[in-house]
Amino acid sequence: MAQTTGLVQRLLLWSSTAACVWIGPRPNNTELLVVTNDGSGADSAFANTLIQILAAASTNFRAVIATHGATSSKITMVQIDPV
Amino acid sequence: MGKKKRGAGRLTFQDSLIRASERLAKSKAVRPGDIVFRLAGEGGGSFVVECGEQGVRVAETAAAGADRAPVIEVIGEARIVEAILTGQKDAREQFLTGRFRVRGDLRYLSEIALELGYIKEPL
Repeated sequence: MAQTTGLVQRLLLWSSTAACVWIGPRPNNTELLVVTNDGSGADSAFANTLIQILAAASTNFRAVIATHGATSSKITMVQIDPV
Repeated sequence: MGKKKRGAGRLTFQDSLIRASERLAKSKAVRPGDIVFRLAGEGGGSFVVECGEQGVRVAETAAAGADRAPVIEVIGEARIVEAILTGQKDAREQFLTGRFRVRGDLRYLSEIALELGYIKEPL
């Protein structure tokens, strides 16, 4: 498991089952991660929630901690700590 | 018969990386800086593509990226990354299924990946 911490520099809805997010301290220093779902109701709902959290963090310039696999770009958890 | 030589996987990836870096050296988008590959699995290890005024050099070293920050890092399974470098697998498809990670100056990564044909549209 790995974690990426930083500002949400960019968010892109690629398709109905995939969204890309650039997280990092600066626009030219980011990690590209993905939020995906398998099309099932529960997985889609979870993915939508992740995207909403990331979008809100981006709008409010809040740092996020995104959890993903060591060699995987798929986000499994997002954390925003209190200011 | 058919017994794999020890280290064959490791040699295969480095060969693929060398071929890719030769194309990178001729590209217009290349600029000075290190591109580091941190790969797991058979044939894995830490590899650095050093781009400089003298050209492009590939080295396998556990200290890749330790002495100076890489411009781009690619982290994943060696067989997946190798398949992408050799064109056997589609980079976008593999990335969207979470098979590898990239970080650093991703605009630069997009430029070189586009020029080398690994992606069809800029990131």
